[in-house]
Amino acid sequence: MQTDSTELTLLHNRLTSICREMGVAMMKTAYSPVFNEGFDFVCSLFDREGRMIAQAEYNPSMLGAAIYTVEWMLNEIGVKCFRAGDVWVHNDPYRGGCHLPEHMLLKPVFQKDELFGFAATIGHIAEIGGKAVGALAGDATEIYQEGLRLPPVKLMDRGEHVMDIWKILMTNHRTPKLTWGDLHAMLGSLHIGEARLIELLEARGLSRTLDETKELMQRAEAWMRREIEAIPDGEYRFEDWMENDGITDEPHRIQVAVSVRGGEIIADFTGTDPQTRGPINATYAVTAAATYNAVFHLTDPQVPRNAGCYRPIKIIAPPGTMVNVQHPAPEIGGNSETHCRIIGVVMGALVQAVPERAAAADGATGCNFLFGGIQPDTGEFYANYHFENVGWGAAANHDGNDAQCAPLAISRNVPVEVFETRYPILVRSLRLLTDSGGAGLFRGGLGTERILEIRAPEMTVSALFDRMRIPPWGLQGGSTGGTTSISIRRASDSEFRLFTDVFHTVSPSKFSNIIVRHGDLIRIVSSGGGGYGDPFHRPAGKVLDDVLDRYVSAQQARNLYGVVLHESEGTLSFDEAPSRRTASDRSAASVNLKT
Amino acid sequence: MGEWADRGLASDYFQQQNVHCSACGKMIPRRAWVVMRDGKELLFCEPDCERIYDEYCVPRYGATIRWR
Repeated sequence: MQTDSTELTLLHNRLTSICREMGVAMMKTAYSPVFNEGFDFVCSLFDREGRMIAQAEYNPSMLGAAIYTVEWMLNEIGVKCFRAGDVWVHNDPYRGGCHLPEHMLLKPVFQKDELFGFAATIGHIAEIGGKAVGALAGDATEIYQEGLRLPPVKLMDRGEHVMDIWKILMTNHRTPKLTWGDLHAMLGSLHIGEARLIELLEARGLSRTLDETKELMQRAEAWMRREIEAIPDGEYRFEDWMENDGITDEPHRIQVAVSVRGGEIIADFTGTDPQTRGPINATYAVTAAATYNAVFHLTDPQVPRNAGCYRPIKIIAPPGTMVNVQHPAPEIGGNSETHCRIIGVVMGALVQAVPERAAAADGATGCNFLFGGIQPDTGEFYANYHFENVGWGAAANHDGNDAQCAPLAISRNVPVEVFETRYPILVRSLRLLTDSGGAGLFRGGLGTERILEIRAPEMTVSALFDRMRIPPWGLQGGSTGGTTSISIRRASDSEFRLFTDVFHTVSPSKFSNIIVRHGDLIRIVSSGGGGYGDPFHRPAGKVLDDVLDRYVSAQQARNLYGVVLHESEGTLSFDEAPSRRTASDRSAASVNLKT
Repeated sequence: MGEWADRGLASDYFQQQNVHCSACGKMIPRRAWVVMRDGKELLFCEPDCERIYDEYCVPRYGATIRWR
């Protein structure tokens, strides 16, 4: 029997609301900035067969991967092993996980004695041991250097801490207090999810709710199939490159053939390069999550996000390649760097089918900067995982967003005040970077420049960046976006230089365990988004606005947009350059604006 | 037509290599959808991957076992 649509919508909204509340609880109680400021977590609900019935709008890289992580855990453990009050933890990339820092906690939800399903969270634990502070070692060559790996093990047993497991965790992580606090924030989030689900089940009944969630999934699947049917059938190919793996200075190719066949999409990554020696390999779950992410960007955002909407999207990822890493290859950058590139190649393929819906490439790197050491004031170890925001690609009807987390996540930028309060670092400057957005009819979003001053006697830093050489691509005649960089000015030096020059690292963008000292400055530049459409078609008035806002320099306005600016008595005006006058779509020739 | 059977290596902690779906490449934790073709055993993570194998993989790559 079909349930009334209004009734189903109410149920969907209530389940989603439970997931949101789980996230708020975690955000308000976690210890690490990566949680409470960065939102690097996800909350979702599953039925007793391991099908996702709802999720909230947190980190999409984890949302897509949670399907596989939960599936693996239920398969390995067996549903019958779960008891009320149990919580299991799991972060193994080779068991359906994303990358090592992402810990999944899973709690069964019973009504009376009958299992309804599970509340699940995945959260990025900021410090998990391994060779580099903050785990993201840009030069790791095997997973054992990347941190503590946990297969599915019980963290709570019928409501009681399994202290043997907690002791192992706290002993192997450099910042045990943060681990304790963050895992308890996740436990609190699961408790909220469990309590709200039980309230729901008591009101609606378990059997009815299971039936209705099944119908919700069927409707989501049908809706997503209709969305895909609107994309012209065909096979669309695209490729992009990771510029190095931190071990050898060579690029590595990611290739996809996206086949649209009626209401189904097959993303086939056959032809992608073999898994690399360095840590840029993605797990199958990461590749799948990135593919879902790209398709969701191109389809109706109102499609209910449950297992149903994922079903029409199939992913083929050959084992042993960069998109389906096998033991014991390292994988820590697969979910921060390669993930972004996978979203980009799927988007780049589908732009050929639906150019009006797609966007140019975003900055596509986490600009992961890890640092740690001993707090001068307290003598305690500190560690932080910092990611920088990037410019997003311009689309067919709007400029790209500025300084936003790459689309693998929705993470917020950690405020400067939090940074300076918690760590011996002074943020000397943080600004949007002029000219970093790709030129176009619609301009790419801007990246940023951040300069950090070290205020401790010494600090250990690591980096895992990409897009330092191969810029984000533009579309339909739009220009490429700006590239990233990380450089250092020693206290005794007068200019910023690359880490390859100062510390002789193999890669300028991927390295670990570099010791910096008091007074050193570190400059982080994040990438901008690609532009969309011919820059000469951008209305000259908008180019003038961009110059006034310092998004675009006068030089780039002239060279890339063909708009020449004149300043006279505090007023800036423009004239179109001779070359622009030949463009078919010219804008009004004279506008004066007060500077 | 296939059947469900235990083929994955989820609980074997001495073995680090996983078993993969013959169509999509996904690791199989424990239960696999097992299909016999011309005397060869194909493992899938779900029955729908058998369909993908027949409709997409075989026409493109031939009826070969590309990975285990």
